Amino acid sequence: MKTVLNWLDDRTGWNRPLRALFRYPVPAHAHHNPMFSFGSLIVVLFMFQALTGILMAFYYEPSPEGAYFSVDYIQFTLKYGWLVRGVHHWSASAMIVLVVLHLLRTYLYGAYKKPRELTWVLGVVLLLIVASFGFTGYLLPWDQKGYWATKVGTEIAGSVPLVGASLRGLMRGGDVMGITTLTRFYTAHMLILPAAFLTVVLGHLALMRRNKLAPALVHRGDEPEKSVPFYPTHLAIEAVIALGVVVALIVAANLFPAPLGLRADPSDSSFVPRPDWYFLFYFQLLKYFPGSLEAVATVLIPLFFFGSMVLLPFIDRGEERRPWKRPIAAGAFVFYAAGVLALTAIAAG
Amino acid sequence: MADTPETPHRLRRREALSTIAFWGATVGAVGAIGLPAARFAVGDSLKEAEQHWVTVGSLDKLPVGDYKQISYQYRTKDAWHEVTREGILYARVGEDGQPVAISAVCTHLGCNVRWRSDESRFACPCHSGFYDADGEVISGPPPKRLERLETRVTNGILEAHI
Repeated sequence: MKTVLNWLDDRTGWNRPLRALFRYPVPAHAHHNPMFSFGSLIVVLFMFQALTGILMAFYYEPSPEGAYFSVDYIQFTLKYGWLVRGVHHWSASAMIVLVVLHLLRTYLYGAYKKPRELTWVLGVVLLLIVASFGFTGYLLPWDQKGYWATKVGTEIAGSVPLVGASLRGLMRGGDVMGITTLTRFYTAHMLILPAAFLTVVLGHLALMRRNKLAPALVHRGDEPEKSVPFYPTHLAIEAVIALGVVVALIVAANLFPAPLGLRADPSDSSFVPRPDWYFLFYFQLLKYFPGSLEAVATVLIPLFFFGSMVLLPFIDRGEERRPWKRPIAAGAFVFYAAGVLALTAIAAG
Repeated sequence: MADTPETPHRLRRREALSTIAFWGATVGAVGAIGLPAARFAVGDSLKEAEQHWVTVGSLDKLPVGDYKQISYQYRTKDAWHEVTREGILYARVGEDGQPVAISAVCTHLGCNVRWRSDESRFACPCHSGFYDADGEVISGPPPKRLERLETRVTNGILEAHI
């Protein structure tokens, strides 16, 4: 075995770059804190999504006539179809949770500050990409939920002043939702977003390696902080956590099968469309803005929210990172978190 | 012939020409592929939907005052597919004896509204928008009234333009 590996190394020179890639030092505070595993877990979940997505693509038919029945076939007829689709469904939700937790951890630890501003900005872009995965994937079963949520979602784009109608048309592939809407969403979900995700993750990781993890918030003593090699010491912990997540996803897929409602019916007036749980707060927020202020809810608030996230490291430039010494940042977190939780609770109630 | 050493001036000129050639060729190649690619991706996305006359039903069977929910269908082309599109509208005969047809599409974010006969108003289940019997906004987020559809009567059959 060793001879083969040596021969391969002699011909490819792979050993050095691989060692540099996987044996970098992980500081002890990150090694012992499970919150520092959120990032790698997101990558693991993306791999599950890619695998289960490719498997479903063997059978999925992206047309309004066939989509629903092909998903029904995957879910109820194919052997382990419930597992593949269930893991895809729950893993998508878990990805949203972990991206948000990862961003919150970075926010509260002040890890977005100099020199890690761009790592943070790419993290915000990743949040948008993961949310877009959810939005585009929701339509693909062509059931009532997906159809109406997409209709509302594309109408939100349509409410943008001046260019709204064009944006809505470009998203739908026409004025009315139909086959070109489905093929567009499928292409975005299967090809464009995964390519964007991988590109941004690679940039995010490259910046993380260049600028290293932010040091511990509180460092006791004068000795430099100890570290462990990423492989195998730190990766072992991450692998165990990933195994736990796999088991949890399988259990969730078994106990709570991925939902599939009735087939999309554009002439139904009894169905109340609701988005997936992570967009519920926004669904509720839209109710509070009367017609003349529609663009405030559909354009200004999302722009302000994501704009302030992107600009955060360029506005908050102080060196202090401890959250208890940053009352404005901590207050903003409490304000946003309480707002999102309250709106979600009202919408779910 | 022996090589002659290039002067710094000639080197700079060569580098400048190479830079111009590189960016010129790159922009040309990206443009030559990118512009048709962008037009291809847009396709018919920006075309407005075709309008159709759809059958509402026999005029003498429409209620007076109260709305009736009408399901309609029409055949059309969806890109390369021949499809039957479906939708709903609300119709009634007004107190002046004239037929009225109102679109069921909420002007807020496109959900189908419901006619609540007991309250004499339309309600949108998505974001709690309300319209009166004429389709004017009463409350909630809708930015404008429900669309009143053009109608015509042929041999006692009411049709609406959607």
